[in-house]
Amino acid sequence: MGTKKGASGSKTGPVTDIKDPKQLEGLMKRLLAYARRYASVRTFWLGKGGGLAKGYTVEDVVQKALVSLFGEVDPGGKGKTGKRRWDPTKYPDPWVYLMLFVKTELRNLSVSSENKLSDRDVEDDALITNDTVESLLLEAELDAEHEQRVQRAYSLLIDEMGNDEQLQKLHDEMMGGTFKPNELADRLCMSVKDVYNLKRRMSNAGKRALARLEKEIQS
Amino acid sequence: MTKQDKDEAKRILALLVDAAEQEQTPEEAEKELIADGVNVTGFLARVHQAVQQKQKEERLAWRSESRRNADAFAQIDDMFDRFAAMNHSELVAEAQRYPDQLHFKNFEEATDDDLRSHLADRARLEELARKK
Repeated sequence: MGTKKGASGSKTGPVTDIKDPKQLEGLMKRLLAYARRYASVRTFWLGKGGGLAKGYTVEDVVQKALVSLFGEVDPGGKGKTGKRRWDPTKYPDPWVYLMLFVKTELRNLSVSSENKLSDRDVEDDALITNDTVESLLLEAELDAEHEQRVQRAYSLLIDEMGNDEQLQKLHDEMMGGTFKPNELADRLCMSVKDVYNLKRRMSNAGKRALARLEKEIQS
Repeated sequence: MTKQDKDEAKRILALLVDAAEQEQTPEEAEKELIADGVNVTGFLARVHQAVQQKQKEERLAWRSESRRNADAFAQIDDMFDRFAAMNHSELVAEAQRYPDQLHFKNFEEATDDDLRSHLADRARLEELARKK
């Protein structure tokens, strides 16, 4: 057993054993929930262009990612010749690989990527990593519509945070550029465990805000 | 959009990405999915089926590859004769050239015919790899 890299890349526990049916099923649930949240972030940042092109669903992307743990899959379903599958020597933790797969595939199959030939593979991890995820999204041109959307999302987030003072303090620190749990723990004078719980509340607030924004975009 | 606006937008994005990547237990994820109206049971069944299908394909592909290799191996001439004229010390010397490929604990104790068989098979595998 090795160690699991968390969503943010921190080591938090044992690596998921995909041969264990219970652990595999847990991975499936976590990945689908993550993919849905990440898809919402894409839509928030890129508008309708960040959503999946017609005929694709987040569930399809997640299924393909999970199947690639056990054998080759055809990326994008566009007849691209290069197939991909999990390489445990490159990504010992399946979770890290799956997150990259999902991010890549959500990008490659998005409305804004339609008809583009520059699809990126999971292997292109120099460009797609947890640390540089924003850099991909920031490729989009920031126009007035985008600015409105960002401001609306932010306003919804503040609304969802309500009067939760701890959450407001966390928000201030994160907006100031502090994201690491141990640094946040120091600044907020609380344990790392409490920071994780607080971040979980922030995650829920962010999710609710983006869900509201998505509804507004669709209507 | 001013630079300050752009920087603020990036910080909001970073915050929301971080929030989206928050770690969850499977139970928390399931609760979230159900609250969102996702048919978790149906999704799991669909993925399990796709995984099983892929595992079946992989096993069949492995068997086919294995058969292809066996057929290709059989089509390469037996090379036993190449080593027929060698005496024991020559066979040992030849075998010792490939310690990573011939897995005898002690070459000295192997019979001449065993050494010839192993050397012949190794040479055939080398030929097979060269043809591929």
